[in-house]
Amino acid sequence: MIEQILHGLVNVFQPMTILMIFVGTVGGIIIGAIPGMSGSMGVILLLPLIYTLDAVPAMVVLAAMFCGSMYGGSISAILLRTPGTPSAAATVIDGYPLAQQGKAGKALFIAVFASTFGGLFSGICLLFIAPPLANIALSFQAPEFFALSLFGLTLMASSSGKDMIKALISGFMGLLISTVGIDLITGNTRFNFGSVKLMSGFNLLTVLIGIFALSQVLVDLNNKTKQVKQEISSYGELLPSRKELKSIIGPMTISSIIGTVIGIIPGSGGAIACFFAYEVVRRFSKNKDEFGKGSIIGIAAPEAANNGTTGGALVPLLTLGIPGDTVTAVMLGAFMIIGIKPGPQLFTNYGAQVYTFFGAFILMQFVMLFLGVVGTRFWPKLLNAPRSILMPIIMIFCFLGAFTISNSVVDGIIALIFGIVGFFMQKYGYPGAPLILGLILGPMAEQNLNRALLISQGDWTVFFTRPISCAFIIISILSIVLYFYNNYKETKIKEKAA
Amino acid sequence: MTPKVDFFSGIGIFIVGAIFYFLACQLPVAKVGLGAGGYPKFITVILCTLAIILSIQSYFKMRKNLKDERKTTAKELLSVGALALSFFLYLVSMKYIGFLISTPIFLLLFLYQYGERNWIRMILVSVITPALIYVLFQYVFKVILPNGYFF
Repeated sequence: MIEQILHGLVNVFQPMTILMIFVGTVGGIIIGAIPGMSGSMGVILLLPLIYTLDAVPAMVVLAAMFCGSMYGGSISAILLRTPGTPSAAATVIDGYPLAQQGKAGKALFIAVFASTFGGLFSGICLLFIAPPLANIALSFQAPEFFALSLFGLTLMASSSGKDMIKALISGFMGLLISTVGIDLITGNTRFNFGSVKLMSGFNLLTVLIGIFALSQVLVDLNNKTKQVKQEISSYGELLPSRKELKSIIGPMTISSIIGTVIGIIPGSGGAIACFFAYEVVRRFSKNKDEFGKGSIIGIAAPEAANNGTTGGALVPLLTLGIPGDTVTAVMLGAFMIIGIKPGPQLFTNYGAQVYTFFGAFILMQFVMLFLGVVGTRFWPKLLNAPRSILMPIIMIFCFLGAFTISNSVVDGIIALIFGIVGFFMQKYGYPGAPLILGLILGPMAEQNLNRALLISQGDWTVFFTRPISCAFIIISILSIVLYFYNNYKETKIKEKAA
Repeated sequence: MTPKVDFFSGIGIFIVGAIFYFLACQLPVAKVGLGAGGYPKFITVILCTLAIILSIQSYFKMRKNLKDERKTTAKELLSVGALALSFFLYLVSMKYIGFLISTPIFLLLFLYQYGERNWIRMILVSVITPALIYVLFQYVFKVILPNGYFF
């Protein structure tokens, strides 16, 4: 195996493979940065190109597009409060405030550094322990999925809010919104009020654009705050200090593990991983108060996690032939076009190509770092444009982001409605992140709860008799207890200080 | 702190929750599992409970004579409403006159609403931005933007 790995790593340095790494990464960063354009769309756009390529460069350009788009989403999230992809939704929480302090370059540097870290971590996992990791994916069934989503929902209470009641209301609103449309288990249509469009429910990206981007555009209309000039004279300014580096290494490692594991689980993905990582890191941080105000840990955690999912998502795809999400599903189709059939026999039949691909996957992380660091000098200049010009252009991109989801103007109108809701939420202290978390985890929780109960004939003990499911439920309970205990402790300390 | 607004928003959220609970009750009940209505009912009950807690908390703050911090003025709301209405009209008009005609017109309007008064810059931004977006989306990303009745 070691010989195969070394052979594969040597083969990476073919001119065509290197060129495709650059093409895919640049394309991915651009696609990811444009709201509404997802990694799956980027992979689809590459299909005409891969017909003309050999197997390895073709696989490489697809994976580079996937990884690049995962990082690219953070650029618009940090600069414009508009997550380019749902995976960058949690990056908005601290990335945008840091950019507003005139440190957009630093925020972007931390994002690309953490993305590279997460990508490398998952790439190394992919290289050495892909087959055993794939077994984790197989052991996840309805009870485990429900328990995982339950754990995610327990994080809702603490999501970016000083007021727990308002955070919970926001989260449960998200859960309620997620129930709109056809119930996939029973086939009944719910709360669509006769609208055919709403039969498929609300699209996550449409809601994200409304709650985060359009609401900010509306808030900004009357906010005559002074525009902070973004000045970066050298790359050295962007580098984190030793203290900062020390503070983000631990959270990045934890987030990379979370991202890789969530990436492996089919049906999960970057959007779930980024919130999970953000909340876990926040909960165990000594400086909780800094989160939401431009904390670099708050940027590093979700970015390491969402790029961690890239390698993770490739594990079931390559070893089992199971695509975990839309991007990997399109990639599976593309692999078949070039004559590579992912599955248990992949390593036997295409050992050399697969290990070269793994090597290229690691190399593309460094290419992404290079391109990202180069970009940190130029992207922030966007914020130096007068806000009276920048904001109307963001409005047009909000429309485009919502429109491209299903080529429908109605999605733009839905985004506008959520924009107005988001405006009032921002004004009156209802955090947006729990609503998004509820919307992401709601369908996963409901469908798997229902599925598990149907399989067990209504027996609720099914969640406690399976080890992974039981472990997640115990962690969820502990998470709630710990949250209330910490709150109680903080109140006591404040009372003493008073 | 906004106790008065929180009190009334709590009541509003309670009403929304109650309406959705009522609608969820109309859904068919399953013999095994939660059925289509079970999960929404569970969510709305918790939502209503949270809304009541919010209203009660705010009520006690109001009784302590804590006044609302002013978050928005009528003038601000009016300008936000005007911008939202313009954006809505932009979206609706696109179906009829297409992206290439509606975007320059409305971008000009949005720029004006945002306080831009340099007319040369306004016209340049309103013409160049939609043209670049159109080329990028239509020819590079292969996303067909609304053409309206004129193209």
